[in-house]
Amino acid sequence: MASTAKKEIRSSVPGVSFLRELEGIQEYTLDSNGLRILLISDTSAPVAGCMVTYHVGSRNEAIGFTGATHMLEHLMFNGSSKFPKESGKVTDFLEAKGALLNATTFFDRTNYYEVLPMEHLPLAITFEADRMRTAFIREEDRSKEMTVVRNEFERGENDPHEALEKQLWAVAYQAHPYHHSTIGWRSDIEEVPIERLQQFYDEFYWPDNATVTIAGNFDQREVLELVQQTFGQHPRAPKPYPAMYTKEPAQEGERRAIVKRSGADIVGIAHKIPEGNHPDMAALLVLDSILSNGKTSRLYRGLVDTRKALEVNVLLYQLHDPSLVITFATLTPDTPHQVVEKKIKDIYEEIKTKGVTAKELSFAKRAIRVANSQQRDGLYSLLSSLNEDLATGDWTRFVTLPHQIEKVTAKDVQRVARTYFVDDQSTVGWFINTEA
Amino acid sequence: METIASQIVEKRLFGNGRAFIARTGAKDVVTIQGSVLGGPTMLAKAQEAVPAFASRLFDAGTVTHTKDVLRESLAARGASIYFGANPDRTSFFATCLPEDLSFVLKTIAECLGTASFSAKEIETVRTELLGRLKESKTDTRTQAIQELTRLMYDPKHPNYSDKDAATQKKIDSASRKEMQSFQKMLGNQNLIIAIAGDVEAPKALAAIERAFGNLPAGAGEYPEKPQNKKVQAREQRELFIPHKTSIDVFAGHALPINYQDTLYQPFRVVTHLLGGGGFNTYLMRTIRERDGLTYHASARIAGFERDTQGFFRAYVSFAPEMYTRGLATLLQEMRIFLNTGLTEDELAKKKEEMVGEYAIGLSTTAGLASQLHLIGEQDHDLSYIDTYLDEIKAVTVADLKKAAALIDLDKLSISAAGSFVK
Repeated sequence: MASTAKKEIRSSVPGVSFLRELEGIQEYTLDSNGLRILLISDTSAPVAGCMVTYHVGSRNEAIGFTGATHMLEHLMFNGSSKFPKESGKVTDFLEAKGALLNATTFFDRTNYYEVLPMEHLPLAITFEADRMRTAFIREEDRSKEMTVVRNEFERGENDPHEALEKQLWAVAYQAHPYHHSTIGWRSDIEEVPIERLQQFYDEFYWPDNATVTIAGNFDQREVLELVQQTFGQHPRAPKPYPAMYTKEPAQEGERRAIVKRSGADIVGIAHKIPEGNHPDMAALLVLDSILSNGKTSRLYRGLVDTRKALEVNVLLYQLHDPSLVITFATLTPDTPHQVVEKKIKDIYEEIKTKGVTAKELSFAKRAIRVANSQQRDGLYSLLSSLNEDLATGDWTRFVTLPHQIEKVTAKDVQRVARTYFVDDQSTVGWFINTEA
Repeated sequence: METIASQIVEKRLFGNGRAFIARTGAKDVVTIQGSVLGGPTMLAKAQEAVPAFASRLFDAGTVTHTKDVLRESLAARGASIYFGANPDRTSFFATCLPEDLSFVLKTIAECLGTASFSAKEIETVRTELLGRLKESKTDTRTQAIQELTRLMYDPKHPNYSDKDAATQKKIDSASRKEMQSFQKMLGNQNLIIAIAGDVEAPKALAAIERAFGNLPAGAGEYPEKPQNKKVQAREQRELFIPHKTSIDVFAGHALPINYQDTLYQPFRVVTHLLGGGGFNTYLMRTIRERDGLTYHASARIAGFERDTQGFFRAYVSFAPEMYTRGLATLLQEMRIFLNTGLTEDELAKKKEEMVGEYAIGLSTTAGLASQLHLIGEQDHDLSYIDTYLDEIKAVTVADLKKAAALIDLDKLSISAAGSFVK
């Protein structure tokens, strides 16, 4: 942790308070409005990155306006008070300087980012500050953008893996809004009124619901002063954020989802797991690696090496609320779905009854260590990783989770397998290719 | 001002081989990108699937190590190696921690030189490749782009994609003997390897020489490439695939240039302006932002291997009910752009974008290694890592117009795949 002396130096920008530093990541807050600021200095290349993470995602939606967070994200590129698009879009200007910029939406968060030559960082910060509170959310833009978003949805439906995964979430989660995917249901994409999107913006886009992360080659003091001058103009949210209080009821037995279309033959098995910041997450990450990382993993050996599957992968979601770990296997020609489903379940069962080996544990920890190092290779990768950690509600896991993983034992792995890989808490999905 | 090249160590080795070492600020990350000469363009047409088999089998057992020993030794280090089959070259991409670099290099060379291609593993890969082929039959994008190449090229040209039945025949017939014969082409005399990240140049170079020094020389010459016999002509094909909510559309044109041609960079700039990535391209501004017809619209050049003339293609996706209007708009906007969009102002902005984009691209170990490998593959001096930008800055509007004239809009090939509205 940082020393007191350092803390004084770091707090010297008026109105900006230094909170802590963990492994090169400094956290500050704007005193006036509660905006969180993360700074990560890296002077190895003449580039810098700015990202704003808002703590709002499809988790904050309900029937009738599913996909609204994502639609709003699209509309956020249509100008703001200081950057009206009529005088030339600032995103076009930044792209013309070589910026990699975009925005993404997921269950628990929405983020906007620019990775760009370092000299243009001030403009990116000024722009992000402006659109936080003065973006133009207009019907004329929604009506044009709706068909764009709908085609994004349509492209996703073309992909059998994406289509099956949507069904798994929809069946596994009935009450909690993780039930619907971030892009939303087609009819909601088409019909959501502009007033609902404006309401969403007014409810959630405030500094005390956001984090600004600046990474790369920049002058710390100049950046803090600029963030203070720009984001500091906004007040805190005038009223409490709408609470998302819906809890998923207990699941009482295995559920199943079938999708029959042209596509691929796929088996997906989803299990309920706790929220990202649960103490069991470190052991679950190790279990995920043992199951699916590389060609020595249990699933690869059990399914690909035996010609039952073309590929296997595990998606272990680390979200704000309890979520899913999903095992996917794409079948080889003529392999029945039930054979692969049984084999996956047998592999889980073996770990539950016999545990994992010391060698597997060691491989998994090493793979995770390498993956963690790679998270800092390039600003986009760094910002993107931090973004997901911010979405769980605790960015410090970016630093602390690797240490927790080092402490995981083989017994921990067996215990979490027994706890979470339970048939009655699972949802099994089959994508059946009707064009076979 | 310090150049990028001055921070990179290059060594020529094994005849025509080249190694590039770039130490960056990345901690505990090493990225390796490399290749050796040898690929499907050097084989008979019927054997074209052999390199794809080989690339999947290199780490499935060697003369000295079983598959399990090999794969576990990599897993113990958290290291990954991926082999790939490109038209002329067999490529490898690896990541590891700094202390494992020497081991990973040794393993790559061992796999390339002494993979055992066991009968059992060959059948496993055959099953996988047939499965992927089956899966691709309902993949709208794969089907559309493959059809586009068939519209633009004759079947002997390297850029021509086989029909599914022909691909299946090649997968079915690939034999161990053919793989062993192919392996003999893979040697060190045309090795290109770039290593970037937390790495010390002298140690890395010594490790490369130790690891690859035992490989035979391998193939010495690139193969002669056949010229495209197919004449570019307006042709449109629609492939029906049921249950698809989005149609993938390609509009393309074979080009009479290769990457050594003076019009190559101007053509890249034209393509960038039209649909090179990001939101601020002509196609994205018109078809997406103005008309709301699509989520994605882009333009690329592809198929530029050594002495191979490549092609241009635009790519857009449309909902089935928007397909007719969308395709008409795409063709109209390409015409407007090529006739009126190549201006001084647009060129100046695009040059600046490409300069900035280049700096960002080089700021990751993978981006840097990839660019260095490209320099080796295309026979540029190392200084090209800096002078590339001079080439871009030197492009004029007159160059753009000459490059754009390579596309005859009345002769575009058009392919689309999806569930068309009847």
